[in-house]
Amino acid sequence: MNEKAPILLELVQVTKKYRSGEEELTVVDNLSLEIPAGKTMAITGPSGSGKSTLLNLIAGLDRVSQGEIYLQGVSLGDWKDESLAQWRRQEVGFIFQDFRLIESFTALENVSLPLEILGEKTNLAQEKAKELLKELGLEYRLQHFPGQLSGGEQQRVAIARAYAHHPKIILADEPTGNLDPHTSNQVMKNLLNINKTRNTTLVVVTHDTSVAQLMEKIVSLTNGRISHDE
Amino acid sequence: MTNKTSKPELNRLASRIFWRHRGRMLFFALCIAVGVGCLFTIENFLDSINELIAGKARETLAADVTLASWRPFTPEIESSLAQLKKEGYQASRTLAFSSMAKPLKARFPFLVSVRAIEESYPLYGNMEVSPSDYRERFFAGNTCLIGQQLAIQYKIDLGDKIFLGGSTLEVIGFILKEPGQSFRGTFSPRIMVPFSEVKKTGLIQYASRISRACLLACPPHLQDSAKAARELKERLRRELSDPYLRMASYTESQPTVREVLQRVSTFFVLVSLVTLILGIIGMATSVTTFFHEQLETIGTLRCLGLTSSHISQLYLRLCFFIGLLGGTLGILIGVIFSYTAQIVMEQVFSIPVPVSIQIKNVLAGLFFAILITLGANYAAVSSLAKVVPLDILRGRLKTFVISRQALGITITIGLGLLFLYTLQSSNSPKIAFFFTISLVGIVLFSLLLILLSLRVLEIFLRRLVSSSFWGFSLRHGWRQLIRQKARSITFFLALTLGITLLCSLELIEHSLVREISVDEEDSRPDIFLVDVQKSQISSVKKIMSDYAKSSKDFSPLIRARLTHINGESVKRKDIKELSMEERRRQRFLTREYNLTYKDTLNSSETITEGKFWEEGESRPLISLEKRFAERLGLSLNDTMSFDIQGRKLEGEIVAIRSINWVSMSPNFFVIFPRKVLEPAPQMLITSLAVHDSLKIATFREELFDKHPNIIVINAGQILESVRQMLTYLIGGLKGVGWICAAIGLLILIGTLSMGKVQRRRKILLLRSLGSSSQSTRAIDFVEFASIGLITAVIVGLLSYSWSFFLAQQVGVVSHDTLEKILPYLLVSVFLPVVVGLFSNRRLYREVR
Repeated sequence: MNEKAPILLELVQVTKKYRSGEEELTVVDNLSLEIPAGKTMAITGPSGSGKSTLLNLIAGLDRVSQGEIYLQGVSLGDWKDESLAQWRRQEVGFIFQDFRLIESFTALENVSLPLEILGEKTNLAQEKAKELLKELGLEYRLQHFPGQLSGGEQQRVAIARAYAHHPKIILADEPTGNLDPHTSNQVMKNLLNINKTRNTTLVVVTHDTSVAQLMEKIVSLTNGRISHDE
Repeated sequence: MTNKTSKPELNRLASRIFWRHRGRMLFFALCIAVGVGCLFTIENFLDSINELIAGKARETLAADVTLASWRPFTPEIESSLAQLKKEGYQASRTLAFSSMAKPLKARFPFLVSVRAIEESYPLYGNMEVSPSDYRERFFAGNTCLIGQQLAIQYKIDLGDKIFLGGSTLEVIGFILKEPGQSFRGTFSPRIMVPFSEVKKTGLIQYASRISRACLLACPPHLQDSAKAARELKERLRRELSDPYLRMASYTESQPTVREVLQRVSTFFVLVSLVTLILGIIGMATSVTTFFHEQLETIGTLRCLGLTSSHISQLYLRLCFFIGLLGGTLGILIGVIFSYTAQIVMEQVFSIPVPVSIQIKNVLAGLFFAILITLGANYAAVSSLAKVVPLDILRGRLKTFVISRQALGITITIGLGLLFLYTLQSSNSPKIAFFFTISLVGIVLFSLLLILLSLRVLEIFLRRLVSSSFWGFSLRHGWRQLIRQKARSITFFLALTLGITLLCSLELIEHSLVREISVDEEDSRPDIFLVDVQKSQISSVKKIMSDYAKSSKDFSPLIRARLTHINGESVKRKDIKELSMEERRRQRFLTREYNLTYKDTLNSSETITEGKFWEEGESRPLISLEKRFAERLGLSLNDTMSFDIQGRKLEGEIVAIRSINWVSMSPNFFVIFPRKVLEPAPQMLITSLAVHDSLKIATFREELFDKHPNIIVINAGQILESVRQMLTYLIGGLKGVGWICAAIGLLILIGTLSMGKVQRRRKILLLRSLGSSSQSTRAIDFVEFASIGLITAVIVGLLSYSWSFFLAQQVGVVSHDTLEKILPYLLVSVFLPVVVGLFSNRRLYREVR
């Protein structure tokens, strides 16, 4: 049965402008997009096309200049910063190109962090984190600090952290940007596997076409507009 | 499914950050711990002494209430005392005065402090005398008890005879302990005689200075003794109108001890505060550096759903933990200091003060440490919280700027708290204000000098083009210093404040000790004669001429009481309501005055305002000493009224004099013209320079034989005791000063270790560009040596300014300033080099 997935996020005529001195720069230009729940989506495009800005707008880290972003029908524009932070805390998982692990925390502590922020007891949070790290093949790296891990391992820890609190959506910004092709494949494999088991919406910003091809939907951006949608 | 609460759990996160950076946290905490420890020690020690005094107050006073006066009790007082006796109150009279005494087997007489007591003395507490069965024989007459110290010093045995005035008394016991003695510092040993014996000595002469006291004990049926004592004192205050009468109840006994302790502790509080402030500056700058490094973490945390308010709460929690650790360490340090102070008090000053760690001081120490850590870092935390996460994520932000407004508010509140704390510790708005302003001034002045020095280095740097080994090293070393301005300023401030404090203490000690030292070459008098009667002048002059290298004229001394200022009556206020300055003013107002008369000034006096009268002036004019006039708030044309043995005398101030007190001439606060006071009842004082201990002893002997009533005071001996006390006091202060300098060093080490990653990168870069390992060390050497040299220059300038200030304000001339502070200046030059190179030694080894 080819049932249409419900829409998790809907972007309606979204524009984002930045002011740089006297100049006003339109980074996202009148863009409309639907992100179905539980699906995987790639946002591609050249540097400066507005991919990362779009991701930050979805995460509520930045606000739109014009237009609306709806989360299951509710406009994010009406939300205060605290509510947006709560949305990120509970429903969003982030994966970054440069991993952004906390250097002074072990792999286990980094993964259990979102759970502990949400009030989970340390031992329970760490149990869950251990399971996730084990699933990603890092059970022998639990007490290692980020500086003691390879790039691929660090990104797998970041993936585990992103999924730890069962978010509704994972936002990955160039997750393989800092990795060699072989490690990149491994990491994407891990990411898609774990996403499949959890049925989470995954939005990946990438300019790597091979990574984009792994997603169910691909949106290409040029100068802040959708140039291709498949 | 995860339990998704709306509020993030920040405590665990803060404790994890704290634990993961525990080395640094320990350093931050240590910065303030030492200062907190010093303050904790002082507070705790003062409380222990106060507790000790309060616990023994009744025994110390030997009564519930005492009445005391320098004059005979009036019939009104006598009648009141008689009434009290009828009501069941116990009374015991004492007399106290100074006199010369001479043991039969000793060659020379000496000054003693005589106390005459009745059989009922003491009403509370114990007199410990050896042998203990002395009472019956003692009160039978012709006997005395002497202090144990006196017995040892002059080898006096039981049964020996002592001449006191016209009496020959047999020593029948040694005083081991008498009420209140443990806190009283006397320059003369004690002799106790029966009350009935005093008249026979003939020492009570006209205008002699004798303290008469009546000790009172409430009837035993009054159960609440404290209440009864207070009520008795109030009753006597209502009933007795004699303005000369002083009253004290045991519930408020030893106010002088408390005040002296408070004054001495104020010095320690101020020096400790400098240590603490230095620690706070070091801690705040290091924590800010740490926060800069936390920006990446903050970016991540914001993505994980923390708001700016959460970030603020998170890092304030971290500061709370630092404060808690600092407070705990401070208390531990304080406990160690307290026990050390206990040993010093017992072994050096023979005052046993049991250390009891007061829980209120522990809590106050913790609270104080937490408060200052939160306060000092508030500006940085609030600025950190405002950082836009996107700027971090996009790599646009490597540092954050502390909001000037937040910094301004923090500094203002900090200074306000500093003022309030100093006020509470010293009970003196003047000291609190002066200290706060001076500290701000010194920090600003130091900052100005530091910035100026860095600017000068910058100018040199631009002109330095040499490509030689040292040219290269100088260029890079100075560049390191100039480019990291914030870090360099922290170094400089920490070292400058610590070492300037030490230099200042050294200068004060040196100047004061030198001022009060009397040596043989000195022509200043070292002997004072007191209680000379007019009829004895010619005979005394004759004896003096055989011994004195130089002598001063006889000055008349007339005892009086100040009754009115500008027509307004002088009234005694409750001291509890008064600040330190007001108490001092009240003491000056209500003290017994020693007036004199003369028509010509001596060589130590200079008129600063108004005009001194001509010879033969008969109008009641007054000349006041300058500082005395300032303390009482008096100026030219004001009037003062005195009561001289019942006669009123009002005079107008026409001249203000400054006096060089260290000249040791007999000088007076208040002078009248000869014709005005000449007829008044008087005794005379004079001074002479002998400067030879054997001659002094023979002089005393001859004078004692002919005029036993005259008191000979060896000022040289007293000044030696003062010098010793001063050395102890400043030695203690210097101890705290060294701790302050050590904090400066700790900040230097801590800041260096925090910048190690950056330094390693730089060394690696230089080495990969072909620089030798000697060259990288030389660059660091230049940097640290420049820190040391600039610090030494600033310390030198500040110390010279300080000694100039002392000379202007206090009249203490500093001698050999450079010679005295040179060791400290050398320390400030070499310390940064040694510490800097030593703390980087691993880096040099790793990057070969």
